[in-house]
Amino acid sequence: MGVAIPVGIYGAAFGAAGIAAGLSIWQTSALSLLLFSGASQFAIVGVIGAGGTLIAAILAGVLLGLRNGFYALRMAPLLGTSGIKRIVASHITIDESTLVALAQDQSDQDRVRQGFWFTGLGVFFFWNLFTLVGAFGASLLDDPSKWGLDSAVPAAFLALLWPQLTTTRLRVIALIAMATALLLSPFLSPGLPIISVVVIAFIAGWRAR
Amino acid sequence: MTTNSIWLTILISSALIFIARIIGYNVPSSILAKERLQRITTLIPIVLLAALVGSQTMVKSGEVVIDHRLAGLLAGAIALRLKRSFLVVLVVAGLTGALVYNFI
Repeated sequence: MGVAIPVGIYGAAFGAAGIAAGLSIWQTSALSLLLFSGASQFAIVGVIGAGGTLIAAILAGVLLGLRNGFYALRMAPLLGTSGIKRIVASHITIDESTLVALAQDQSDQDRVRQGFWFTGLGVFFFWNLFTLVGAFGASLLDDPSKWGLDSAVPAAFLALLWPQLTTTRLRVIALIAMATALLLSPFLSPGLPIISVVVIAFIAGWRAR
Repeated sequence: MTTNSIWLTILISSALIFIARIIGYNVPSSILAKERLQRITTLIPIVLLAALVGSQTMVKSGEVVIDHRLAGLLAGAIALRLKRSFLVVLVVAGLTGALVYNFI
């Protein structure tokens, strides 16, 4: 449950950011409950705070959150859910739950599923709880980037990505994806550089190796 | 933005992201079973997360910058190579980033 710590800090930061951008406590919490995708939520309140339009805010949020749909594609055969359970699984399909699930030994279906549900529900709980804490004026935590603590979040993602990079080829693909996103960042609006690397997955996966 | 357009933004974005997730779960398994698609969907989270790690570490307001975040991430990567636990990796990365940020 090490994921819960940065999630807690960032949840509180998001709560504070929502209020700072001019959202009410209800609106800030609604984003955490209904959208439930950290990067998208930050992008949306960022655009609103900067005086952006409704379309710009939605576009930024959707571009950053679209990757959850790709995670869903990956998780669907592993989870094998249906009905209400599938709807719940959809909603908690995020970076953290997907990563923890995929970091498990994938021949052990139970562990993969356990990793997904435990992480997804746990993060949902902490993220919403701390959004409220932040929104209720816990400006104590304010913005983690002000303290320089923000490298903990990409490090958490890296730690979870690490066990998946089992071959040199996968490591090279990951590095190419990283470099591509960085190179595109100055030219595309936030979110697009990340989404665009899906093309690399198509190119690299097109032929069997 | 007015209160109403903020609510509209929240509801539309949430609905769109939810639809994206639900579509992902409902692509027929016969399609997903195709080998090529399997190779691609296995790679998708890897490339997205690599891109995310890079962006979170080196992008600030649309510019590529090298700052304390990269120092933190590299320290975290070293901890990973040394096979340290998840929590150790986080603490090492967070502390290194904070030290570089505040003292260099």
